[in-house]
Amino acid sequence: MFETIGVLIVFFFLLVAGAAFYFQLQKGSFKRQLRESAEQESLQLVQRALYLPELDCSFVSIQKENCFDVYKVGLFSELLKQETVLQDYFPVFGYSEVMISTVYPEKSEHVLYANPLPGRDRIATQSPILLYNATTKSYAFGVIEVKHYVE
Amino acid sequence: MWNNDLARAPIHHTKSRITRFSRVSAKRELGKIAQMEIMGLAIVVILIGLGMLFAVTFVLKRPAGDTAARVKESTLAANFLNTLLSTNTPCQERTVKELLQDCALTGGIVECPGGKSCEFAQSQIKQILDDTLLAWRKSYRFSVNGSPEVEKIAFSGGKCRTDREAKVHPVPVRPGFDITLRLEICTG
Repeated sequence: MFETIGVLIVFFFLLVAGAAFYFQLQKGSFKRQLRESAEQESLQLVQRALYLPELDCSFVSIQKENCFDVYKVGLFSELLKQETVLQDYFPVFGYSEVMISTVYPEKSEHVLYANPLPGRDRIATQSPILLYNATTKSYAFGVIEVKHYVE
Repeated sequence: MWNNDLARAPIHHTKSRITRFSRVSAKRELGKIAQMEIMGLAIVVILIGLGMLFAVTFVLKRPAGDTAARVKESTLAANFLNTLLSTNTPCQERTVKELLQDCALTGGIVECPGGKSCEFAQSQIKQILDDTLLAWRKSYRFSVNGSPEVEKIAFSGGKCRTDREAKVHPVPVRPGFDITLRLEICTG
């Protein structure tokens, strides 16, 4: 009788310990999946920004890949400071910050879009871009950085 | 009923009946123990099966995350090489691609601030790598192959403990003579 009870106690103890271990692993797995999904969304935001016709370098209707016109960037960032225009671009960028910076030969930074979600985690994704100056007809090495706020 | 029979029966008969009873009882006990052991074995088999199932699930699930990271780093490496080659430098407004072509073909004829095209391209590429990949804490390995002069241009930053994602970009110098830029970025 006591042996049976002992065996049952050990069995249920092992079952509970196993279940606890499994749920902990699942919790970690869910967190990892959420993180991956947020990272993918952040990458999608970068891709969306890279193909914005408002910023592209086009020569006789031919668009150059991974290239932004610096004058367009400057004017577009000024335009996005207006609340109504910012709201128009909310479906494109959501809760995120988009920054364009020149890395080489000189350093400068433009905040293109800023709609942060305070108190939330954010995932930053960077991608190298060319910044075309139509006056000097030269390309600078730049970076587009998207900080995506996880909802 | 059995007790009455036992009372009426002679002693030797009673003894044999008791022996038979204890044998039957022992057989039943043994049967119960055997059943318990079978149950125990079944539980052990079920537990091992469940363990195997979890192990297989976790092993099969793992590559999904790695694939996403690989795609991300692969895109980054490809964009980096494309952007780098088209960037204009302060050396007579030439692009990095033109400097590398000059370095590979002539060993460096173009005069740049602080040296010839080879040294200048080397220092500028290093500066860009430090300001981007190293600043983002990404481990990398950059190299150029195709001629002895450009092969001196090779850098690495950070320690890579995981897999690397590599991108190769060929640059034609003249017909039949290409140099290749290779950038490896750690996926971790």
